[in-house]
Amino acid sequence: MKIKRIIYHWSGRGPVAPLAAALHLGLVEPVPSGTAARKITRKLAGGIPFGQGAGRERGTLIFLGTGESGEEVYLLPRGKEGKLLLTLVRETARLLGEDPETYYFIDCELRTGRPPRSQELFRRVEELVLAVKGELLRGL
Amino acid sequence: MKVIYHCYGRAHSSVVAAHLHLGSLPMAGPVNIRQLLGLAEFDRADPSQWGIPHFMGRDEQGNEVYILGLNSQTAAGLRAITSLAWYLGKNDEVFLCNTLPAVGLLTRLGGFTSKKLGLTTIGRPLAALGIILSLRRLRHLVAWTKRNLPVSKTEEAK
Repeated sequence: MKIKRIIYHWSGRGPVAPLAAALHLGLVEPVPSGTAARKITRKLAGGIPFGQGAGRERGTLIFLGTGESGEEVYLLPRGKEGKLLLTLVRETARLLGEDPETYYFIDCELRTGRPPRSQELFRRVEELVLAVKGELLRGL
Repeated sequence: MKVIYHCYGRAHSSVVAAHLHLGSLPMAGPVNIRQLLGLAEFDRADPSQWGIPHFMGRDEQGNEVYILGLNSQTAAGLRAITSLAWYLGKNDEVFLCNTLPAVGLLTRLGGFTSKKLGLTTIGRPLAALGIILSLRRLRHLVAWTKRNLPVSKTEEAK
């Protein structure tokens, strides 16, 4: 079976993709209801890899771990205009003998929108990860 | 080994470097504008082809030669290629060579006139003239690349 590679990409600012990847891998415990939004932000930003953003790493594919179904989870800080980088990753994979169909690019900012509060962000990212996992089970 | 010559739009310097590498342009002696304009890829690529390595041919050592346009995202693009190759355990299969520092202002001006302003009748010969003026540096770069390419396993077996 071919290994699926899930690439959560974002501009590199803020914790949205690192949070999604951490939730995907089970590195973050679900937040109990009623927890203050500020508390969530601090806890998340400090406790997950690249939670403070990864603008300086723009373009670097960052492997975070392997999920329950054997899928590999990556982060990709792509900057504001990321189309070229996504094409490049897909085409380089093809060039190196990989099947680009096994690469799933998840635009975390597009799929979560711009939530006003961090508690809302957490909920939206949780929904995103659940959707991705569901799609993964169905073969995307 | 996959040799990738990359520049801004993969329309001028990387095209000429790849042809020099493959021997379809000479590594010594004069090259004229007509020869450059006759190259199938010269001043042809458009932004939709950026980020996609374009296969140019195989050299005498069996290395695959590609050209690639990275727009203004050279640093991020190189990080993407090298990190992916590293994760796949194939980082020793790719050789990246930036051709942009080898060309001067005239080629950039010609490229801008042709590709951004759409004035190909003026821009294309201007870019070609710029390439001719930069040919010595491009040849040096290609010669250096060829010298520093690791010997492929098939060649080693011979």
